[in-house]
Amino acid sequence: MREVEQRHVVGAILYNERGEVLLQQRDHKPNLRYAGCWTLFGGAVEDGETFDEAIRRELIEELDLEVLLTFWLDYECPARTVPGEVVTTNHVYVGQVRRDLNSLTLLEGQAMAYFTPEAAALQQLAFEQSWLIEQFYRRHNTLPAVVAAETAGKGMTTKTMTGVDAVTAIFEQAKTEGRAAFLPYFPIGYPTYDASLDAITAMAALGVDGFEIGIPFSDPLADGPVIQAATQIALENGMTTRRCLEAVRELRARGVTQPMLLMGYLNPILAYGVEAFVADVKAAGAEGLIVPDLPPDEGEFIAEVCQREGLALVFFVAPTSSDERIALVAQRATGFIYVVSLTGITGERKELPADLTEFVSRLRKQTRNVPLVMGFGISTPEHVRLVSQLVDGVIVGSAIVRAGKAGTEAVRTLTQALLEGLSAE
Amino acid sequence: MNEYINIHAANIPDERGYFGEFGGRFVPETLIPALDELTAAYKVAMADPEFQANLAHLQRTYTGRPTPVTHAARLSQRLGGAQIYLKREDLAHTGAHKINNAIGQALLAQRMGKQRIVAETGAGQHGVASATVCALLGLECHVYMGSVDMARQQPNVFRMKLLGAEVIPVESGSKTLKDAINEAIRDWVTNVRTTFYLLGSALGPHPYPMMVRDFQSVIGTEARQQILQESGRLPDLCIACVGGGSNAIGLFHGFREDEDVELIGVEAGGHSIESGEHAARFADPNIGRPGVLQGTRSFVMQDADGQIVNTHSISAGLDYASVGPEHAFLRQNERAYYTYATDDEALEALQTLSQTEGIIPALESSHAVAEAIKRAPTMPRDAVILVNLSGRGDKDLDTVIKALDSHA
Repeated sequence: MREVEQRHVVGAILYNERGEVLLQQRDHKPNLRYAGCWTLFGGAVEDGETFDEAIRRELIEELDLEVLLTFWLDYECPARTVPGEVVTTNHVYVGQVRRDLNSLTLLEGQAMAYFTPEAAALQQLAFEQSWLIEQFYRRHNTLPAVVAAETAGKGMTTKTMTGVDAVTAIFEQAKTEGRAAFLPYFPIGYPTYDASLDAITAMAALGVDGFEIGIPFSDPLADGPVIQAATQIALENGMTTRRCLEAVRELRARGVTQPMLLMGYLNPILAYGVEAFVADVKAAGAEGLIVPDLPPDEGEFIAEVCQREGLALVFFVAPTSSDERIALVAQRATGFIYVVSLTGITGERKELPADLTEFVSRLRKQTRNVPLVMGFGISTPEHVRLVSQLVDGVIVGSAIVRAGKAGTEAVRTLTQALLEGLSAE
Repeated sequence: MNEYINIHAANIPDERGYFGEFGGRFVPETLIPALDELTAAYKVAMADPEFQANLAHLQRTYTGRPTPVTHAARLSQRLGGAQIYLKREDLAHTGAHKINNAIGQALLAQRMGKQRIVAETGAGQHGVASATVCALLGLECHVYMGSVDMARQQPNVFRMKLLGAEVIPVESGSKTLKDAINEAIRDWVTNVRTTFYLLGSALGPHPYPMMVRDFQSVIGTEARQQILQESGRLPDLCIACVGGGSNAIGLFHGFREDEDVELIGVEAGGHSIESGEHAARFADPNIGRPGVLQGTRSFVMQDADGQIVNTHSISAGLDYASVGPEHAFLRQNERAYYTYATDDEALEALQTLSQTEGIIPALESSHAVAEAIKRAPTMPRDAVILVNLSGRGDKDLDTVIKALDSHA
């Protein structure tokens, strides 16, 4: 019996801020299937390429475009399948293009245009893409990336906002959508430098609200075993503070627009030089700092510099914090207050403390309008659901870092699940 | 700098735990209330005559204080210079000065109603001291110890277990004292409401450097009286080894206002300073720089990126990347001077003292003895050197045998 040949193609649903989809018109050539039809950008996966690499390559070849993409779905493609001989799987990505037609360069095909859903439906699209685009528009309400695109279309100005303003905007935006914000933690350099950037990019594409970007330190005394081990590996991979700042730059170049807060211990910052560090953080394109071994009463020398540069400096409150401490933190913190959910170090827990509601209401009396973001121990969609009803934002670290070991796909799957925990009422 | 700091003042550290620019409280917020509570309880206890009486009673009847000062006559004669005197902390119960602080803090824990004690240990001496006082006072004791240190201090591991303590091996980082402290702090953060952290050296966040110094200052207070009695004068030099620096700060405290008494701290020179394999924070400006480690700002051994580097010393008790903030302060103000002895010099000193005086010093203390051996011949016969013999060497026999074998 002959073996069935497996082929793979990739395609991208590229939409603009009005929700219109970008299509290209195929050449009018004899013998070309679907000649002259409108179609999605994309093409065949080449030998040795991953699907992610293939779609990135295709968009550069066809459009000279680098854009943040998220994998949406794959399906067996009937128009390119010959029963018993060839099975072709189409891997479909979605991504938002923030450029108008004039600023795009078409390198393949005879034309390109943005189509409204209605206009696209009137076209005879190549292959089964009419069905695909219909599916996309039917389901796009549940797609976080598209939800994020819609909010962007409504005039969210994250791109022009910097520093502490951008951080504050996270919570204003989430509030208008009646939900809490989601801010995952991921350290640079784990499991490798590239893989950490891929994981963060994948989470960005899923529409998380912001990031805590971990700078590894040899003695992370607020961290549990998962993050300890991960940051140790990152150090073994040669990560330095400087390299982490390069990573922020690279993430921005990849199209990650969400606010990023750098999370690192104090000594590497002192070694870098506080002034230089804050200036370079800003120049790299991050919005703020989280320093777990810096309580507010010791933090003035950094707070001053952050304030001058317009960066957020986040301080912590803990279940053990007295009213005086809470008031102090509320007064000094910019961007948000990091609420430690439990007495302990970072790391996954089966259950969260029972008295969180009481704790948060005690905080609210003192903190008024400074956003509260809870972290430590939050690791499941159910935790996220619980916590997101209490506070303005949720941080998940260890669980995502653990997924990071298994690869970008695992990070994506978990983040998607955690995001769903967030939106559940 | 431009402002005169009165290093003799009793109000060192200040309210925020600063010795000049060193010290402070750089810990996760969860611990700040516990440190506030501890500071307050400590102040009240120290002002309470009953607490002081309890402490003094245990020092006398349990620890065996005052420990004597011994004139090392044969050693002095052989060196042909200054007279060397030894403050015999090796004769304190459990065999080292660590018990002074452990008793003080454990009494405080009891007073604060904390039944669960966590401690870290390097050489095992502080772990043994903690396990001992916990047995004495009926407290629950958990000791974190790096697995590398456990291997080189087996007898102390067994002693702690015999005393009813749980010894928890630490496998992270360099698996030595620094990592044991990280783990003890993580435990404390987690169990802060029920747990007292019995920190063994004059480091960590405020109030520990102050509190440990105060509990250890009994060494210097006694020694000053004793040396006056024995030699009829104050010493020219006081020498002590410095890991975290609790035995040194305890000795120095007694002589701090005697400006003619030179105070010398001896760090671990390891294989050599040039090799980079040492724990001499003050001796190697390339890697020993001001920084923040484990709650306090002091001199820290670090790479250019601010990552803490691995240290080396033949003595587990000196094998630590940072140093108590008050030492950094005393050095900056030139009230104390810091030098180092290498592994080989310490080993040599251990044998010399054993053979001339019948006293086997701990490898840590041998670093101080090594400095006395260097200095004495250069000084007149009526000069006086006081060495703090912070612990006895029984725990080190394995290490010493191995080291001597490899040299043979």
